[in-house]
Amino acid sequence: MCTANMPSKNSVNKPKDNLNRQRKSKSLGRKKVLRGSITKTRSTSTEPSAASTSSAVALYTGAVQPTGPVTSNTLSKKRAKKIERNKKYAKARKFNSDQLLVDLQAKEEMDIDDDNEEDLKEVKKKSETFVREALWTVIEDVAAGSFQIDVSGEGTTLGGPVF
Amino acid sequence: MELQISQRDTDVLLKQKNVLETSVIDKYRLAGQVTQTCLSYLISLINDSYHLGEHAPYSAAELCLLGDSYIKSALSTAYKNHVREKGIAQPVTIDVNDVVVGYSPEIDEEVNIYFKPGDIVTINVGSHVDGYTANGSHTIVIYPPGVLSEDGSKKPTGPLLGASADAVCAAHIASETVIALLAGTLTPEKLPQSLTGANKVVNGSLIRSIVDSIAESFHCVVVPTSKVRRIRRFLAGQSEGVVAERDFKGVVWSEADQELQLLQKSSKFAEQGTQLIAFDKSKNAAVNNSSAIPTDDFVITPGEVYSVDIKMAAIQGNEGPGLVTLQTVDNITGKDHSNDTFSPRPSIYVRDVTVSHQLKLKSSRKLLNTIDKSLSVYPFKLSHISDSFPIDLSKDIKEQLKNIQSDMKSARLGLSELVNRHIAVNKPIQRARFIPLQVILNASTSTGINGYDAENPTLPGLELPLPRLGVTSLKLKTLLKSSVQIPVARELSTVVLNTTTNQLIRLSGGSTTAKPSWVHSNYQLGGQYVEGINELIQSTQDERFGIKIKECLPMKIKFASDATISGEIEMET
Repeated sequence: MCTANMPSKNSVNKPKDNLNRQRKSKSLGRKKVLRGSITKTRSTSTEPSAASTSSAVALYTGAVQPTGPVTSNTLSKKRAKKIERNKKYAKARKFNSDQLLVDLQAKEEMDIDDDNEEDLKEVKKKSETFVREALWTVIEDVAAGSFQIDVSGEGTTLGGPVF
Repeated sequence: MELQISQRDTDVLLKQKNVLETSVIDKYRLAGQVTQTCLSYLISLINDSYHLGEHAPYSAAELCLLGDSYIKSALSTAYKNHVREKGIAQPVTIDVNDVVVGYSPEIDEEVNIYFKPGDIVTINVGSHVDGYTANGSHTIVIYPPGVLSEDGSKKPTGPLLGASADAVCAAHIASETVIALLAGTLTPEKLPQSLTGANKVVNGSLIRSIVDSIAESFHCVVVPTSKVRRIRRFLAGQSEGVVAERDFKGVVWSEADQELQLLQKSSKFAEQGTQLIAFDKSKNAAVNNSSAIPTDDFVITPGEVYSVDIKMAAIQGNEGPGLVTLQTVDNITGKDHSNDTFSPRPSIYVRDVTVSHQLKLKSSRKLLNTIDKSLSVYPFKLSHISDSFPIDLSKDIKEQLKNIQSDMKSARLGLSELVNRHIAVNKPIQRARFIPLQVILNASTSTGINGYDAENPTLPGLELPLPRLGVTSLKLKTLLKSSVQIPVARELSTVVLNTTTNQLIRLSGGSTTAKPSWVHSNYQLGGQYVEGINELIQSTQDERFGIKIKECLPMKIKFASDATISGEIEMET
């Protein structure tokens, strides 16, 4: 790896970090290429590896809903904590300044929500009682015998006398 | 959780691989042949043992193992080195009378059943080649042992009567009609106008109303989970409820449809507006992709493959109107000391490919490894993992059975961890139950509209069984104790709408393999579609000008009928 104009292995000035980093990234790259070639075997087309162009499809189950765009970048725990913390501060700042306004607005919104919800509940209840009543009439009608279908004709025979 | 697949792979897997080329149709056909052969093999085993008296009666567990072994070994040499995955798409299940789906006991199961005369027995089999799947089911009747007739052959003494016969008739006629209708979409000009109207389009709601009218004329109810749906490569509905499938296309019957039918019978229904009974399926659905929610709003297009799965339950003899629903049974719930409670252990599992977990036990890691390596996305049983599977009837059977049992023992230990972590999900054993309407109306709905039963997988959008009445599946479960059992007949066929020859290829079922047993129902076809259905069926029988249906025939193999496992098992116990 060392060329003639580079400092030798034992040199005081050796750019150790650079060398290490280069070696590491090279070996990682080699692995990546290898991985790409494995995924490629599935289809015969000569397009670039599928791994880089991934998008979500709906083969999925359960109630968990993805909250945003899907990414393959990972967040370190430290950074996640920091983001959380900053969010909290920002929120507090905003709260202090806008408190009055927010309070007022929230109160109004809540009033509207309440009304809506009650309306919805009422409609739902109404429809449910209607359904219930309608189904009771089905039972009562049967008791009165209005749904009796008499058997007419000779019926249906399938198959024949063989096993 | 969502799986990530690149757009290019999505196109290849979902679109290109599902185009019906010659190679694809060949694979479908081979899978169909194997399924048909297995079906006729199992029917012949039952006939030999129960009707003709040539062999001691086979138990359900033996039939399952023999059927699975047949499919596995029949496909072992096919497409060698050409396809990666092939084999069992649906482990053999033997569903008796009111059992609707999933009963497939292992060979060491405590609850093992033999059939009685008068039982209706549904045999379900399925195989796949490279993901191209052919599933099939057929319901046969167990008669008393045959009597010698004049020509020297043994014959049944008479046809089956009663509620079971109604169910068999309804299921047979409905499935034949739907298949003829599907075949008609290849040559729309031959479809009878009395069925489709002038536009000659076959859509989901037409299929539903025809099947419903057939059910009604035989005093039957279409059992929830019946469906007529499109299948694609590796997407044959094997993990419905476990993994949601995008672009679902099919008619699915559920309790909600029965609710609507009952409402329409009511005299009060006409006076009030219909907007009260409308409900939004997507509201309760646990998916964010609306194409995974089944609707009737689709048109059958040629060039697709459909599975026609009709289950009919006869409600004759039950007082008043009611609801047909499914009850999950297992070896724990409701178990008591009486010997006649049906409490089988679930034995069919399907791998949930979206879940991964670091497993603790060595045996479960080993098992997961085997599952991922040797099994596909299709359901499996523990006995399939054993080295002695498939059973070779020409070798020492006792030794092989012993090996399978000991292999299962260690695998079972690992399996419990897989199931606890939801890496493998067990397929429930369900039986049909009739709940009188009074019971449902008298119950208060306190569980809330959003409660749903996580144990019983349903298709997205169908989580709420009675949405108009606001009864959740959990509530319905509690009402099951005042329910009665009803017999169910099932006919399942997989059909290919081949556009190159304009023929429908029937991969499973049909008059050769799955001919109806001798039954007589007191009812006959009625309702608004009678003429149309008669015309349609006549058209399929006209070979020159009619609607064309071709059947996959079973292979002509002589089964070694004397080499069987029954005697060996009896010796062991």
